[in-house]
Amino acid sequence: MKRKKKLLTFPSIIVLTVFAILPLIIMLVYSFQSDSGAVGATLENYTNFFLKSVYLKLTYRTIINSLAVTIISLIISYPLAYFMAKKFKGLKNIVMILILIPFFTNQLVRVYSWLIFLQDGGVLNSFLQSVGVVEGSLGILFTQGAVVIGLVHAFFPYMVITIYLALERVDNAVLEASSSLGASKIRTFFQVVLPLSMPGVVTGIMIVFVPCLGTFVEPRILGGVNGTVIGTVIEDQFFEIYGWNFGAAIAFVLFAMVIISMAGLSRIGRRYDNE
Amino acid sequence: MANIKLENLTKRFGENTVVDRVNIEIPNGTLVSILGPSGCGKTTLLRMIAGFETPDEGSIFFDQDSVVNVPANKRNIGMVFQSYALFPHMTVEENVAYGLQQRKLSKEQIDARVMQVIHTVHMEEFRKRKPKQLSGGQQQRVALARALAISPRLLLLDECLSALDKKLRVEMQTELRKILEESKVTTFFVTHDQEEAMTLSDFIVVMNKGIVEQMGTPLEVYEKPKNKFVASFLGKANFFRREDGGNFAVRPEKIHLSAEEQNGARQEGIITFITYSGNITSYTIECKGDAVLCEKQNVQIRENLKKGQNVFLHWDKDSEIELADE
Amino acid sequence: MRKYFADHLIPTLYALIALAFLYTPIIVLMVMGFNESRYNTLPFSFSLKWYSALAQNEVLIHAAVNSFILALITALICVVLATMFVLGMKTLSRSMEGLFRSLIMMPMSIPWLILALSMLLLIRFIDMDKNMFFVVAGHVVISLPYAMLSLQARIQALDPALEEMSASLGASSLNTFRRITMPALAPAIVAGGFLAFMISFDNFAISYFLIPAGTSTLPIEIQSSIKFGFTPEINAISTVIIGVSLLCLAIVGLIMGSSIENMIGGKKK
Repeated sequence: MKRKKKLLTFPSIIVLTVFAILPLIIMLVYSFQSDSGAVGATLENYTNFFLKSVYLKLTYRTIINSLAVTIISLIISYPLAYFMAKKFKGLKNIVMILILIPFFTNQLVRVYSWLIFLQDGGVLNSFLQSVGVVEGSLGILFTQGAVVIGLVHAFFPYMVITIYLALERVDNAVLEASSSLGASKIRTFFQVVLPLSMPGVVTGIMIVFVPCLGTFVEPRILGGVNGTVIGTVIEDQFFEIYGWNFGAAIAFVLFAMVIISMAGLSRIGRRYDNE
Repeated sequence: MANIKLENLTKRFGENTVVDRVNIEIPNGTLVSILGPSGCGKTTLLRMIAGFETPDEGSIFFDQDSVVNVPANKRNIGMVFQSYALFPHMTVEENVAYGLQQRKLSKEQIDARVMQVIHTVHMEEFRKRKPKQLSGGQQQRVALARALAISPRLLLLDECLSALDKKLRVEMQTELRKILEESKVTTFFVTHDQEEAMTLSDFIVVMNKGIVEQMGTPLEVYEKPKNKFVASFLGKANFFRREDGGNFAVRPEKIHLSAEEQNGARQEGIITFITYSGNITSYTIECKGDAVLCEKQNVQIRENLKKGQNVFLHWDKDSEIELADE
Repeated sequence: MRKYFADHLIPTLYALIALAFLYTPIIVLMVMGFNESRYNTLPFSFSLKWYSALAQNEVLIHAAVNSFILALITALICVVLATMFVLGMKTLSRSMEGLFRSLIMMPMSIPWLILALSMLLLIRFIDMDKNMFFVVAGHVVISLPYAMLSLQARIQALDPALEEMSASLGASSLNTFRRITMPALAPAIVAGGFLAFMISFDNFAISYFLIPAGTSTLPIEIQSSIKFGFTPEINAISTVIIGVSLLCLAIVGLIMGSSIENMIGGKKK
């Protein structure tokens, strides 16, 4: 019986292996092949990438963008998660539901909504003009700023949830204990609450920073020409330029960046594991 | 060290009056149990003393100082929670040092005091461990050490032995008593376990539905309970009604059984149940439709009373506890 | 008093601002779908013309239907795979279980861009053409982790004593499964399926890379409209999608809510 039960786990694993692991290996293999049709393994894709400053600048910009999105998300999310965990009683559930609902809007719908919201002549522009804050065009759209806004909007709810869950697990009695031992509210926050919430913070950073490295929809639509990042370059290789092997190489560089970030964050996360 | 005075302390949650005009005065250095069933208000009372709940009416005095408006972190109390509430991300040493760090002391002073307190609770060996690596009993000791380290005016213990298994509990009770007697700090101990209250306390405050039913030494409260509630909450009691009115109770261990009628037998009945518990044997006797419990120490093992036997019940007049009419 | 305000006013205000940030663009989008203007600009005058245009926009509607069917198939496959996995999970050794679980969860951490193009390369490698089969496979890969989360949480919360009790009362394995395990898992199956459905329905990257010519999904259509010129018909269909999603959410919420009360077993944290 146990044998049969074990078999139940296999279909999922097979699906993952064939359609995720295998393709990744194939991607690696292709990355060592030339787009020019020459036969045999070559490093030219990688040398092209690392030696051209434009690609390195791109990598740098991608990382900076992702960092910016992560940090801004963190700043917005932490207080909200804290209030939800510690201050709201009945409101907590309503706020939670309200935060989760946008998850169920399509990514494209969300990006589109920012597109029309931020556009010159759009609603935000008109509003700010009417109160005298801005004259003429808004100038936010098609900048990196717009991309960051769009990405923060898409990702910060994840962080709110992970930090909230971590804070919820903090026994209220621990906070009272800190208080009874003489600590002020501020001290209690920095010496008890913050350290205990770190697992949630680290997880939150992971699920924001890493996907941001690989975005290509928001950068293209909201950033236009100024929104080029690694993701958009890869997309171009597959749809415009048809340099699939080069694309594979860049994708593998991105993949490496992802793995390194995750490993690094996992390491940090383990230090804060208190359970 | 402080003597504590609670005056007319009242707390309501919505329609419920959870603590109702409590007046108690506790002398310096004593260990007081607040005993009562779940929901009687004892934990709320404790939390008001700690400063985590604000009373709706009444005042709290530590040594003539009113503390009602003093925030919890300035009251200089030590508290041990039911869940111990140790800081999971800190070692035992760091946990114990925490309260001392809030006061401006030098590192050497803090280290010395931490070692001293850890020694008192016999946790030296574990001082670099984190709470998750400790057993329940060990965590409890660390929680106690942490509270004692700051030399508080008052120590508050909230049902903190209830998570331990019976054997460990009994051990901890004795140890706790020793430590507290040595440190001479005024202590409030909340519990629903009457045995625990009796073992540990200098005084017991019996609470029910927000009011204090009785306060006294364990002896007073056990031998002279004021009403039916106290009589049945602390230990077991048999209740009788006199023909001319008036209620009284008799404790099971004060009843003697005999097979033959002797002078001054109070009641007569049939044994319906016998339970042997090692050190005592309990007899349930049916008298005039009521069940009476008699407990006898097994000084001699010879068993001469049997189930179904007709027996006569005796007790001293002094053993009758007068109860207020309900 | 002042502390009370800080305890209640500031947090509430903060939450409102955060929620405003979250909802404003979306609400603007929905409102503009009822606006006369073709360019999503003010001034506002009410009009349903975009909705009627949408009703006649066969391409968009067709794409939406495709998305729906694709999501449905994906969800069903994911739920079956995840349920099977979770039932057999306990027979694995600890390290195996950890390994398998990490494998299944992997698509949650890898950017979908990479997964999508690597599948494209797989198709090229085996010398095939783009095919709906691969689209479904890709959707399953990325949606499975979500279904798994739901079922995993549920099965871990289930009291194993229930199954043992059923066995001790004489039920065969199949019966125990049918009458105890499955009903207990049902809410998680529904939730997991729902999650998988939403993930698949909303997915752009996988579809974009793998969809064969001539077929389309809703996100792809929206994206090409944005690229090549759009009208507020997009707003209209977006509003419809949001409305339907909320409806489904509410229904699932009700089912889950009432089931959880009826279900025995489950240890809360």
